[in-house]
Amino acid sequence: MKRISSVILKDPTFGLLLVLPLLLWVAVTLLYPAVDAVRISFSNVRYVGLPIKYVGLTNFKHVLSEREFWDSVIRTVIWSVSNVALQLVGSLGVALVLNQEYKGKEFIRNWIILPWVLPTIVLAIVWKWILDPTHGVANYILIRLGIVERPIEFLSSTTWTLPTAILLNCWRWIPYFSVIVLAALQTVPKELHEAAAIDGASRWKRFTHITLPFISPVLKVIALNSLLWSANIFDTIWLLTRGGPLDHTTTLPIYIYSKAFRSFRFSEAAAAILMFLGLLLLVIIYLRILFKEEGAQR
Amino acid sequence: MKARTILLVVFLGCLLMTVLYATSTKPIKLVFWHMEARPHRVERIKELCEEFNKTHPGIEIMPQVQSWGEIYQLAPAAIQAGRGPDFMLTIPDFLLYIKALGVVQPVTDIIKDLQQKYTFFDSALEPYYFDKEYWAVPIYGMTFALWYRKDIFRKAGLDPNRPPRTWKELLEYCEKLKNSGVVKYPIAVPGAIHMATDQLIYTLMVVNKAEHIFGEDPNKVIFDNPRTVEAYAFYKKLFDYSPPGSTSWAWDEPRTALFTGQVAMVMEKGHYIKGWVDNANAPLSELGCAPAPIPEDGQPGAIYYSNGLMLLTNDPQKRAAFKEFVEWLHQPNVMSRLLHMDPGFFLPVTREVLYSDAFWSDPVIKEKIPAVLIQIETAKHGKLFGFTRDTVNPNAGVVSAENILAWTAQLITVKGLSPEEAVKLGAKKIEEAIK
Repeated sequence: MKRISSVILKDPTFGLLLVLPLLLWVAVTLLYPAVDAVRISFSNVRYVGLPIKYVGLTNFKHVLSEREFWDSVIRTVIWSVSNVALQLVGSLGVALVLNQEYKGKEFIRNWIILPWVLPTIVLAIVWKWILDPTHGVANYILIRLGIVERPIEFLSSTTWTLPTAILLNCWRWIPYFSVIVLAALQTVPKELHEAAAIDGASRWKRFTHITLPFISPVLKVIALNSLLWSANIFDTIWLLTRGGPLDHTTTLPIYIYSKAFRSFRFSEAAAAILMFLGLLLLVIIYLRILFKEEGAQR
Repeated sequence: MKARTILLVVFLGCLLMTVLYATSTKPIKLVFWHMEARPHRVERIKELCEEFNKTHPGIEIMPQVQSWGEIYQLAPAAIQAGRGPDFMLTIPDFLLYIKALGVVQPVTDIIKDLQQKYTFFDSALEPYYFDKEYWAVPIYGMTFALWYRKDIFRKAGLDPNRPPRTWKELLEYCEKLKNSGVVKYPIAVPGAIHMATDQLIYTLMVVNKAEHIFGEDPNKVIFDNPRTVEAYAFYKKLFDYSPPGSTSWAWDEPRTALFTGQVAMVMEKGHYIKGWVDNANAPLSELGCAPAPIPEDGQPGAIYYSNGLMLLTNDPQKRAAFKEFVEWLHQPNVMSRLLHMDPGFFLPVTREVLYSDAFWSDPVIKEKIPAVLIQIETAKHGKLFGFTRDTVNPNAGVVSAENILAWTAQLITVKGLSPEEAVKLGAKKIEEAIK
C-alpha cells in the first residue's frame, strides 16, 4: 500500500492533476479576460452589452494618434523611474539605519511597516487631509514657520501634484522594501567587515566593496518589482487625484480606466492595455538581459 | 422493517412539502436598484418598499442600493450577465446610456394611466419622451439655488434678506465679504473634473442663455459661442474667490466649507437644507436661499433634471407589478414621504404632490418654505444639457459621462487658458467624443 502511494506521488501526471484546479482558475480569471481583451481591441465596443463590429487596427491607430496617450506614456515613465530610484535609495537608507544596534530596534522594525500594511484608501484620505490647502496641517506648519506665504496646493496644482503623488507612493512602499533589504543586510558576514576595517578600509569603501555586492541581487529584484508595481499602480493615484488636475497625474493605467469607464470606449481601452503590456514586457526582458550580463561579467 | 417505514414516511413528507411549495402562490419579486446611498435615504426607501409589500401580498419589491459613481460600469455588466434589476432609478442621460443595450421597456401606457390622476410637470416628464414613447416614470426633481449664511452676511454688514440677484451683484458681494475680513473666501466653487463642476457651469450657461450645447442637428456642436464664453469667464471670476485647492473640489468640500463658516455662499442643489440640519453649527434660519443670480441680459433658470424609474424586464407579470408599485408611490401622501427623505432637496414632479398638505407637513420644509418655493420656481425654467431641443439628443450622455464642461473649466483654472481658448477646445472635445 505504502509502495503504491509513493509511486502515485512520484507520477508527474498526479502532480499535474493537483495543479489543474489552479491552472483552470488562472485560465478563467486571467487568460479568458486577456484573450477577450484582444478580441475587443479589434472591434468597436463602447461598453458591455452593445453589438460588436470588427474594425481591424482602427483602435490601435486612434490610440497611437492621441496626444493624451503619449502624454500618459511619458508620465508613466517619469512616475515609474522616479518611484524605482527613490524606493531603491530610500529602502537601502532605511534598512542601513535599521541594521544598526540601538535600543528598541525590534519595535521600530515592526512599526516602520505600518504605511505598507494600511489600506490605500486610508492613506489617501489621511494624506488628502494633511495636505489640504485650507485645513491641512502641512500648510499650517509651513506657513507658521514662514517657509511659504500662501498655502501650497499639493494635490491640485500642476507643479506639485505629480511629485507629491510620487513621494506618497514611495512613502508607502519604502518600508516594505526596507524590510527585504534589511534581511539581505543581515546575511553579510561580519568577519569581512572586520577584516576590511583592520586593513584600513573606510566605511564607504566597506559599503561599496562588501555590502553592496552582497545585497545587489536583492536590490535588482526590488528594482524589477518596484518598476512593475509602480507602472501598474492605479488606486493610489486615482484616490489622491483622479488623474488630475487636467491629466497631470494621468499615467497609463489611469488613461486606460478613463478611456473605458469615463469615455466608454472599451475597444480603445483594450488596445491601450495591449500596447501597455507589450511595452512593459519589453522593459522587463531588457532588464533581465541587463542583469544577466552584469552577473556574467562578474 | 422499522427503518424502512421511517424512511418511507420521510420521503412522503418531503414529496408533500415539495408539492405544497410548488402549488403555493409565490409573490412576484422585483429587484429595484436605486442610487440614493446616503443612510437616511436608504432607510426611507426600504421602509416604503416594505410598506408596499405588506399591503400588496402578491408583490415583493426588493430594494438594492448602488452608487452613482459605479452604476455606469455596473449596470451594463449586470444586465449583460442576466443579473440586472427588474427596474431601477435613472436620470435622463443615464437612461439613454442603458437604452442602447435594448433592455429598457417603454412605459407610455403607465404614464398615460398616471396622467388620468396626476398632472406631471413638463420639465420632469419631457426628457423621458423620445422615439414616440415614454421610457421612465419621473418620481422627483432637483435643481440649483444660491445658498448663503445669513450670520456671515450680517457680520459683513450685508442685508441677510437681500441676497445677490445678478452676476454683477454676486461679484460685488464677494468683494464686500472678502474686504470685511469676516471670511477669507466668500464663495466655494467646485473645480474638479466632476459632475458638481459640470452642473454649476451649466447653471451659469442656462442663466446666460447658452443652454444649447448642440444645434437642431444633434451632431452639430454649438458649444463654442460668445454666451458660453461669458459663462466661463464669470465662472473664473467666482473661482478666484474660492478657497485654494478648489480645482479638486466636488460636492462635499463646498458643503463643508459653508457649514463650517469658511465661506459665505455656495451654488448647489437643495440637499444643503438637510445637510445644514445635520451638520452646521448654526440654526436653520441662518441658511439663506436665493435663485441662481443672472446676468443683466440673462434669463431665470438653472440645471434641472428629474429622477425616474425605468423598467428593464419584459415579463408581463412583473410589468403589472411595477405599474402597481408606481401608482401606489405616486399617491401624494406616499410620494411626500419619499421626498421627505431629504426635505427640500427632492422636488415634486406632479401638481397633486406639490399642492398636497402631506408634502408641506414636514417640519424642515415648513421652516424653509421660501427655499423650497424658490427651487420649484427655478425648476419651471430648468434645463438639462442635451435635452433642450424638441427631440432628445442621443449624444447628451457623452457630455456628462466625460465631464467635458468641467474639463473645459480646468483649462482655465489649471492651465491658465482664456475662456475663449478653453471653450474652443471644449467644443473640439465634444465633437471628438460624439464621433
